[in-house]
Amino acid sequence: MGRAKQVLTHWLEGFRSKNIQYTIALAFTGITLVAMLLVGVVLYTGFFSSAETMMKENNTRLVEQIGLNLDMYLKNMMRVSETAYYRVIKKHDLAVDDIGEQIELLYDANKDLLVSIVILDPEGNVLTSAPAAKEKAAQTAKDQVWFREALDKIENFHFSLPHVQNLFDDPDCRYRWVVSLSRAVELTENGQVGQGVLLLDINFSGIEQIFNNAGYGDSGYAYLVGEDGEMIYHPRQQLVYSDLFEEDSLAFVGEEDGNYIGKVNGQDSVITVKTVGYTGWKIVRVAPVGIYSDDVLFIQLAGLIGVVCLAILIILVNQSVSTQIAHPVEQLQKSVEKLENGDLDAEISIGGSYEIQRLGRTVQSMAQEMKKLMADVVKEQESKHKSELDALQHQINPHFLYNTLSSIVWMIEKGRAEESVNMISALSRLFRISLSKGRTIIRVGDELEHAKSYLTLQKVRYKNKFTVTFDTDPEVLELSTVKLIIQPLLENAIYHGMEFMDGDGEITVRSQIRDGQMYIAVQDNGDGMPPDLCAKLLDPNAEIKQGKSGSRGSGLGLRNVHERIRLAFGAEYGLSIRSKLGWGTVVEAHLPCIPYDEENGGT
Amino acid sequence: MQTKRKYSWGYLALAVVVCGVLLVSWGNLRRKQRLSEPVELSVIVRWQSSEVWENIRRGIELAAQDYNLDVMYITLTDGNSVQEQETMIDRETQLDTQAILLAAADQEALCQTVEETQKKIPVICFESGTVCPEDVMCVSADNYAMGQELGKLLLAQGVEQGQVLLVGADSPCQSIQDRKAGVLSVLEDYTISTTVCSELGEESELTEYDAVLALDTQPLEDAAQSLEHRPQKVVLLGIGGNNRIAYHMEHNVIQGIVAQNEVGMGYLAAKQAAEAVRTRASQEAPGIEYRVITKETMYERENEQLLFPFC
Repeated sequence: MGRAKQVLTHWLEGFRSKNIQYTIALAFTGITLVAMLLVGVVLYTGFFSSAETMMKENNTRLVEQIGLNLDMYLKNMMRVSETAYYRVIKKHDLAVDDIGEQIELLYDANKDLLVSIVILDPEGNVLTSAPAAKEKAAQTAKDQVWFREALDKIENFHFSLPHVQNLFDDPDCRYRWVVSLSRAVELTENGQVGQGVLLLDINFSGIEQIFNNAGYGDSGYAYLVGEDGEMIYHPRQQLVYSDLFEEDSLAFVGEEDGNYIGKVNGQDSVITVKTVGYTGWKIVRVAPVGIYSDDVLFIQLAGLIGVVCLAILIILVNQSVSTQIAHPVEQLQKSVEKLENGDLDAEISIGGSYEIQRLGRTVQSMAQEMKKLMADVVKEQESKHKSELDALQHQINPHFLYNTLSSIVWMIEKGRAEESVNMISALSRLFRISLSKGRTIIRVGDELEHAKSYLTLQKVRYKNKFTVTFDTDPEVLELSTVKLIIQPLLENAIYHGMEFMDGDGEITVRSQIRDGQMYIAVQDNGDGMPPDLCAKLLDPNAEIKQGKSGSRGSGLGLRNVHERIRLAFGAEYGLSIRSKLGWGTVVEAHLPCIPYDEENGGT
Repeated sequence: MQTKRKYSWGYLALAVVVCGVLLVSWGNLRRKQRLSEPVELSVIVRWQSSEVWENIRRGIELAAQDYNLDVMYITLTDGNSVQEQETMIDRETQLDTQAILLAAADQEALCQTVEETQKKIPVICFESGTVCPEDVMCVSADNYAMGQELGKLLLAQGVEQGQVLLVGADSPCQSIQDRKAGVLSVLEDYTISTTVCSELGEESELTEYDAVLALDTQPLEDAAQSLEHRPQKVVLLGIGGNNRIAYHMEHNVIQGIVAQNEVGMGYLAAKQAAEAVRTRASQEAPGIEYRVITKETMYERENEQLLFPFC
């Protein structure tokens, strides 16, 4: 029970996991096929039931007809016998009167049905017969069953089994099968009443004709058996005698009149039994179900083909209907899946029935709303980034301005007017490039120009304690860069590399293209940095302590540059620092090679 | 895409089922049609008179009804003529008969014709067969045993020595030769000498013979007719049975017969031919009943049914 439940649950789960089209098609098809099956079974059983009823009715009608004809035939023979007895034999003294002529007349009137009419004495000797024939020399009527039965039961008519008549010689060598109707009669001879036997040999072909004319054609057959089951007539009589046709003549002897279903010669058959009035003989009609089984087989095959074709049609129609229902749903589901995967521009499928169309429109409306919200979010984020960038740039300006102005003030105080003018001019160039009409992206050439202006200012301040070399690949000059990225690197090199240096400082600004990428490096020959400090400089979360040298800054300027490059060009770009104590430091900016033009200058 | 493929397989499976059902139906209908078509059967006998083999014909006609046969009967203008039988076999084969029933006039001479014909259509012998190298089915009672019964019947008549005339025993028919062998196998232990003749004429001298044994229906009828009015009574026994023979037996011209179920023989031979055409399967020859009948037993139920068949 538990196992069955488990299997059922498993099956239902499997069924639920199928798509809607499969489920609809399967359900429709299943229901339709079950309905067809039920209707088919009902029609099929109904057909057979009515066919069986028809067969029984047909059998009964045929058997009734045969019975009626046979009864009339036998009664007719009995009337002939009565006539012969009461109208001829009883009215004459056989010793005095010749009744041969009257018997002959009676025979002539019925000669189609009769082979002979014979009157025999109790010893079996023939007294009179019609037609006149030579009695066999050694005829043994006395030993024959019909003779003995007539004398044993004198009040009755006796019908014998079919046999070959053997009372008379036939010069034409004819041996005819007859059924003997015998009865005991009172014979008057010289006034003395004695017993005798009146024999009517009924032509067996008469009985044969009754059965042959019944009109059952090929639809089975009928046979006649005696009270004790002896075969009297069978359409295959000689084959039955030769054991070439099996017929159990005893099978229905004890049965009441009516219809039976049973097997005859291995075939299912409808058997109808009827008893023939006086004789107690039984007519047995056998109609094998096989007589219409050929048609049934054809009907079954035709039905089977019809059912299969209908089933295919139903499956196709069901599939078409289920597709019409399920396809829009599946399309809608695919659209929703695209939405789930972030494709907000995906086209929302709207089709199918009204409800599904409505659902599609709702999803479409939701997608549009989401798209709008997403755009707003992106816009907001961009705005936030721009604000951050601007803030980072704004972090430079006061810092640098303070330092430069401090230098100019110092120079003016010393009375170095010309140098002060140069510095202010350089500062002016610096600010011109810094402003760059509000652009954040400028030409690399301008950026180098800006760096040079800055160095002009710093050289004054640091009394040419260091030399600067620009090693510039001309190809980089027209490429794009975030503005004001070299100046913080130079500032760093000066402050941290040159300020406390005993000898001449050397700073090299190298701009070049490697592997399709642009690199701008600022190298100094200062004291360098320990590796841990070097690693922390670009880490936004790291805190940098003041070094032993007492150099200023916490790497804020480098981080600003690093972040600005990444914000402008992506996370794969930015700064890298290589430093070695006693050797110097190289800070290198990695940038994409994007040619500069007026259009991308503002972005 | 996967679902579509699954449906395609489903359609393919359904198409296969439909084709299968149609093929089975077609095959079945074709088989039924073949069974319902009548089989054309040619029956070539070795006798001139149709009366001699009337009961065999009745049996064939019963089988024709049961097995849907279209039967053509061919008798010979010259009894037991091998040449005529060969001509008839060739002619019927050319006329596209589907099977031949043959009462072979000669057990050896017909072998070549029968074997060649059997390669094209079924040939089934009845009553009298062949001794060809290739087996040809023969539907007949055990002729040798019938001959033995005839010999025993002769002994039962008290003839245990002397001269016996074997009428019709010179025929090259297999059935006759087997019967003759059967008779001789019984008589060889007795001081009975046998003489063979083809037929018994009105003028035949019979004084030297103690009995006449006719080994076939026609010679028996002819012998009975020949002896019927002769004052000298000779024991006449034979193989065969019909109304005339029964009549002569009742009139003590014939003292006893061995009769085979000729109706059954005709029926079974035709049935075998029909089945050979329809099923093409080789079958075993069925046995045929025979009975020893005398005047005293001829009206016994079984003998009566054998000697005076319905139909």
